[in-house]
Amino acid sequence: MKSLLLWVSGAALAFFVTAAAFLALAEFGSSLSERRLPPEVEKPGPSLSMNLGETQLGKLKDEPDQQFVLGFRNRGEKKLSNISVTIKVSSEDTSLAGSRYYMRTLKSLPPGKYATVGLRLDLSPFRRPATGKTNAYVGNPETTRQIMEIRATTPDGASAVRTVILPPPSRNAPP
Amino acid sequence: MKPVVFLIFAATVLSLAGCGGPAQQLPIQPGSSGQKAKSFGLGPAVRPLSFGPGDKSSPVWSPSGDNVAFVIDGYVAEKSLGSRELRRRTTKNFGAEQVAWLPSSDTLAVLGNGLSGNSAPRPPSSAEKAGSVYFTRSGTEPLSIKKASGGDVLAMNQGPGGEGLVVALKEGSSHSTVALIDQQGRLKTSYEARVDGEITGLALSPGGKNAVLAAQSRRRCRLYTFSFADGTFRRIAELKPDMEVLGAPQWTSRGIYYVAGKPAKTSSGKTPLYHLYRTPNSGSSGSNLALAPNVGEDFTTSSIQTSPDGGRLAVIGRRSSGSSANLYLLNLSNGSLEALTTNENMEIRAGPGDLAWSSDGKRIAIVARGTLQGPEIYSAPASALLKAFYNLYEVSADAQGGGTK
Repeated sequence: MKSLLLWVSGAALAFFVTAAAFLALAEFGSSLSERRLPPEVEKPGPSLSMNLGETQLGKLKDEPDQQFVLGFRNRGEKKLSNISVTIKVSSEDTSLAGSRYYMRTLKSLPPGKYATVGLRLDLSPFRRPATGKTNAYVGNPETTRQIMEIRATTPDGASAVRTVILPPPSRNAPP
Repeated sequence: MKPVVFLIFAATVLSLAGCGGPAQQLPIQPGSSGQKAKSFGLGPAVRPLSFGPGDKSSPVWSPSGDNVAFVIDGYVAEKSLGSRELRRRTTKNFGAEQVAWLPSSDTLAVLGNGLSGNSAPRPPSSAEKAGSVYFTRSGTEPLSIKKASGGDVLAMNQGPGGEGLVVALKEGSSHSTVALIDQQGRLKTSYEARVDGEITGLALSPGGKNAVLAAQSRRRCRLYTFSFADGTFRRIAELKPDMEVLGAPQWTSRGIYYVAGKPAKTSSGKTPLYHLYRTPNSGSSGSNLALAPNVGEDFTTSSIQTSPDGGRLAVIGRRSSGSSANLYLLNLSNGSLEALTTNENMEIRAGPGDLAWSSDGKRIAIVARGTLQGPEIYSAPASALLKAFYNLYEVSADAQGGGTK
């Protein structure tokens, strides 16, 4: 009887020791992996943000002398100086030379402040110069899109880039 | 001693068996990258082959499948699949219309006018639609461009037997014929037989012993087969007077497929509808045209190309006039038509040459760009943009983009 009691109590003890060991291991493992997770750090956004004003984009025509205003905000903590703004207007047709370049400089933009730069752009369609050649590649002006690539950079390395794709000239537009 | 042994035994059994009764069989979930596959506007089995601006067309794969070449704004460029860098293979304003990669070589054949920005004006050609063939070797700097022999070339394709080119030549004002050009650009074989009209497209039979071609005369468009062995043409079909064939007919294991329809009048403003037709290789030479089976009467087509083994037909088309264009694969052995792309507001180029099989028959190159309703803004330079311009895409020929029929 004494021996049986010893066997039963031994088995019960083994059960509880094993269970406790597994519970401890499980707890230790989970807390370890949680501690190893890197803290979520939000990446800082660009200090220079560019606003193209989508409403004005819809009003642009494929004609010369189009008013275009760009907005810039300094989202950083330091003043931005000598922001160089370059706009390149080109054709989707890479065989056409004669891209049009526009440049402006924004002298200073304090932290949190917003400033605008106004330009007048020539958005008239790019035309292939008459060469007198026959059967030359002529492209398709009815389907060729225009590209407006806008870059803003500072000597300190802050930058912003946007590319606007403008639809082909209206087929119903007068020549 | 016995209780100690029992304790060890009991602990082992309990640790292996666990405490929860019978083990629970949980299914293992498939691994996930946590990011949905990017579709590029054409479905999941598509990846881009080019970037940036330029009106791109006529893609071709290199024999090894590692490079692609294409026409961009009238000149020819080549690029490696693993690089974004383009290598120009002709001068700009070359007047290139079509490019072919000579089999087992690094030479590109270009059908065009060979004009360059510095060339002097030349008198108008006697044949407005004809050009010349130029050979340009890949990887040579400066550009090595050599005009091949021949004459007024109307169409070209890779030559039979994996050598050189087969070209359609204009003969006089109202006839045309077929000739072979070797790897060095020399006229290898010219045939005396002629057909009425101008050959508008030609393609080889699987095996390369014959060619099939379409010729447009003033009155009719006719389809012919041509035997390289005896140099003879055989008429296999004649279209109705107001119909034309688009691109090159395709010789398959189940007959000759071609795209035909009525061209739209310039003033009508209507989009012409072309359909896929099939005629037996032996042809009846009559004008009883039969729509290709298994695609449906409403299916409209713009370009087709047979797979290298001749058993499948890649088709750019629409299931009905109101649906989006997609790339389809017609399995000629069982008649199934699979959509390989899922068009999400993309314009797929629909020219006869805007479709190319890789030599291993596993990939197809197409050209597409995103539709544009108004100005669109991207936060990247133009050279990195994809959907804004016509670009090349690689489609897996094993994929199913939009279901089967």
